[in-house]
Amino acid sequence: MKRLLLTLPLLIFALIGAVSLVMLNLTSSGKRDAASIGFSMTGKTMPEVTMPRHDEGGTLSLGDMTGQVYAVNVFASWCAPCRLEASSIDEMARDIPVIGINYRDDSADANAFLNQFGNPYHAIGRDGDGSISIQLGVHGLPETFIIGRDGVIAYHHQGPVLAGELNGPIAQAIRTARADP
Amino acid sequence: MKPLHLMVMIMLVLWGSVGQAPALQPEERLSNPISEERARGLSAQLRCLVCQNQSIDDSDAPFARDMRRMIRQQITDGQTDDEIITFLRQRYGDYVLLNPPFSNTTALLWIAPFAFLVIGVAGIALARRGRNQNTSDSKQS
Repeated sequence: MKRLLLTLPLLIFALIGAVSLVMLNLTSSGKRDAASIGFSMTGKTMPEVTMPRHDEGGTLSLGDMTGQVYAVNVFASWCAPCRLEASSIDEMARDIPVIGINYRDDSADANAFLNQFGNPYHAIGRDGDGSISIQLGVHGLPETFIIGRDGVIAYHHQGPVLAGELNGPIAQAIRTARADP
Repeated sequence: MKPLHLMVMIMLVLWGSVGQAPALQPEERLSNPISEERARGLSAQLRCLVCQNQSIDDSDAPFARDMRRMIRQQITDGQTDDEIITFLRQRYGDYVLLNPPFSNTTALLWIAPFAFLVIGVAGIALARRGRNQNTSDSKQS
């Protein structure tokens, strides 16, 4: 009896550890979708937000993009990982139109960033106070969305788009979205 | 008084006087006190997604401020609490709620503490019975 009392906490600890390890392995190996935790916009309809254009005057509405496969990339000049993904976004923009959303940024800083890393964007909108990005479920820059013709988000990625994402899930999402009539 | 005791006392007094500076800025508040109370109540239930286990009511992060402003905007626009929570859950999932709702994925989380309590109580009861039996056995012999 005494031995059971001593080993019970150890057994419970081992059980919790084993369950955690299995779940972690499933998630990191991609067998369990991290989105099931509820942290992704994939599969939802892209909100048709309207925002002021960066440096051009007038407004930019995502609703105008409905009917084509396109991407949205939320970026800022102060965001270090945004620099890492600049070449990937450039490559992606050769394939599909990419709408840039400049998040909480100074206009001049944003221009300097675009001059330094290039401007791959079809159009750029400004989200000066973060209110547009909240509607898109953005919580950490950079974030990238691939949107199908029907306006449904085919892929949502938080963090820099590197070669792995670009040639893997993003290429796949673009192919699937294009095949969809 | 020993210097150590004095130091501890000073620290305790200072601790009490510091308090926690509210993250909410005066200009964020709504003029209608009932709406403001609703906004505070909602903010306390919602997780600041870029913080370490803080509600957006407690956090100074710009993201938390954006969310607080969005909540107040939606309240002013006449949205109900449920509608605002649904809006945020659609975007940030259940993770945005500090109290995760009961579902298949969170069942273990909710049930486990009670299960462990039952196991613990049962363990103690069994151990006591064992000990009582042992003592009565030794009395008999």
